[in-house]
Amino acid sequence: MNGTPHVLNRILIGILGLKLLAIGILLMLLATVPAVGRWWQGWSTGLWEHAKYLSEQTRIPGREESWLWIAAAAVLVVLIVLMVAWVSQQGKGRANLIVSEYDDARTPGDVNIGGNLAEQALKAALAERADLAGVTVATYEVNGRPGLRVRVQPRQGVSPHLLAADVSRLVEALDLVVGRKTPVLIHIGAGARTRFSKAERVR
Amino acid sequence: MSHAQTPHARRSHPDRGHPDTLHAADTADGDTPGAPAPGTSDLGDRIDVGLQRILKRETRSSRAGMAGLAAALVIAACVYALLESALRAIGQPPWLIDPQTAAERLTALPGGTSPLLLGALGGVVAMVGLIFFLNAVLPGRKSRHLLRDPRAGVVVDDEVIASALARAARTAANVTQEQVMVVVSQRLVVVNVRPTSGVPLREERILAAVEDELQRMAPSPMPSVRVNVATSGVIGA
Amino acid sequence: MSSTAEAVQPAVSLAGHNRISTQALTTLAQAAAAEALGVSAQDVRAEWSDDDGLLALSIAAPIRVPSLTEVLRDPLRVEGYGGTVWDRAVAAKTAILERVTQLSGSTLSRVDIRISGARVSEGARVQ
Repeated sequence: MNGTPHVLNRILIGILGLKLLAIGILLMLLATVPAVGRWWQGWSTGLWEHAKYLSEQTRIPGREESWLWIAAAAVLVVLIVLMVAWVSQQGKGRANLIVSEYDDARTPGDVNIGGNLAEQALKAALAERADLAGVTVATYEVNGRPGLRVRVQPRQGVSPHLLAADVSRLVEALDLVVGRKTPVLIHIGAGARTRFSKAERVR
Repeated sequence: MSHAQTPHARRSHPDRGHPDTLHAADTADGDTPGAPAPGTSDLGDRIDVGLQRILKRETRSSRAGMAGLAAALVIAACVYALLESALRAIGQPPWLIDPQTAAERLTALPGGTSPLLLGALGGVVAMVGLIFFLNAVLPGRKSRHLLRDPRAGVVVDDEVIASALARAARTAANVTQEQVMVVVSQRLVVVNVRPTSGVPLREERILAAVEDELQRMAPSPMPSVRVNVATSGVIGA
Repeated sequence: MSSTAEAVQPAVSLAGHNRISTQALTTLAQAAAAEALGVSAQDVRAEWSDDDGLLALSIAAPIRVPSLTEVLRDPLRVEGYGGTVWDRAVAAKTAILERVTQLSGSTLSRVDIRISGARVSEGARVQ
């Protein structure tokens, strides 16, 4: 339910994978096939000479280096910044509010309802059940819209559809209480705890 | 080892439409007293579409771990390149190899290095690249199923489904928990039962019980069921 | 009702003006919010800000709600608490504004309210 960019992840990982694969294959070929070695030496020397020529052309006035070095360094820094930005996109999406509106029917002012309300209400209602090993409720913002994720960890043998129906009914009760419908994701998961809990206390 | 294959290997449910799409349709507003604010009917549709997308994402791996790894690799490489350039720029001796020498050695390949080392290095790099590439391309389905619900999107880990089906199986077979093992995958449920010695098992009963529970659950995609009764039994369970 | 910070009107009008301290206004707002939302005043956070020369109030507080299992059994329980959280929050804005204006004489331009949590109660509440 979070904002991790699935598609972007795959694209960038794929690009990196292809590049590494190409480099690896090239290295293996260089080690095994002499013809490739000759081609490589010719081609890369030509490239290197061209690079040296370019750096001669682009000298900083008054110094013997070319500003290409600085440009290359800048590109590297930009790449680092982009990578950091990419990592920071993983796992985003937690939010605080499930309702956020401005109302001036009688008194002007914002009305915000925090996700904490839903979290506490749902957890309190689910805490009474004996067949759950854990309940977590969290608020998210997906595409600018709020959402709730209810994660329940049932004990061994609990029927997931019955549990889902119960939680869904509680969510409908929450709709009545709050007065607004928030999209809800119910995740019935097997946490580490469920493996070690008793199997008898189930429906 | 006997196999109890379900008579119809693939069950399709034409009345439910496409088995892979779920509709978290909004409840009719007229049913509930104190219903949410007017104007939510189109909101309900938007909730529906949004939930569909969320559910689709929940069943696939986000590749966030690999992304972090890839980013870390690129950052490390960039930082190293910057380090060597900086060292050269201020006239200090390089840490590992300075850019000029590196470029010259690269263009001279495979001249300056042992082909064995080069080949091994190439193999390692190619494998890492392949791992990344496969990660990007393979679907990475999570072991989860979706359930139907009118109000919320429901996603269930396969272990929970297996646990519930195991309970149904052992009740039908009248055996203990240790004698039943259920493996749930995307489209197949395999129930392995070891009978109690001296007490023969009827596979049809177990199959019927598990299929019944599965029908009630209605997971999407709906798996088919196979029951395997072991030839050796457990004594005195 | 706690004592207000307003000066008692003397029989003879004297020159001078009354100013209510921020602390007094805050306590006032907290008490009004607590009553409107059904929680205790110490759970309420009130912040003042300037809204182009006018006074704006920002309230953050939990709200008393019935337990969800009770609502399942009896949906009309929600009415007994004063309606939905949304309706109660909107009504609270007006209630707080009127109370603060009435007792302190300061006019508020707006009241922002943020429901920060739930006080889930099990017992019956009759209004």
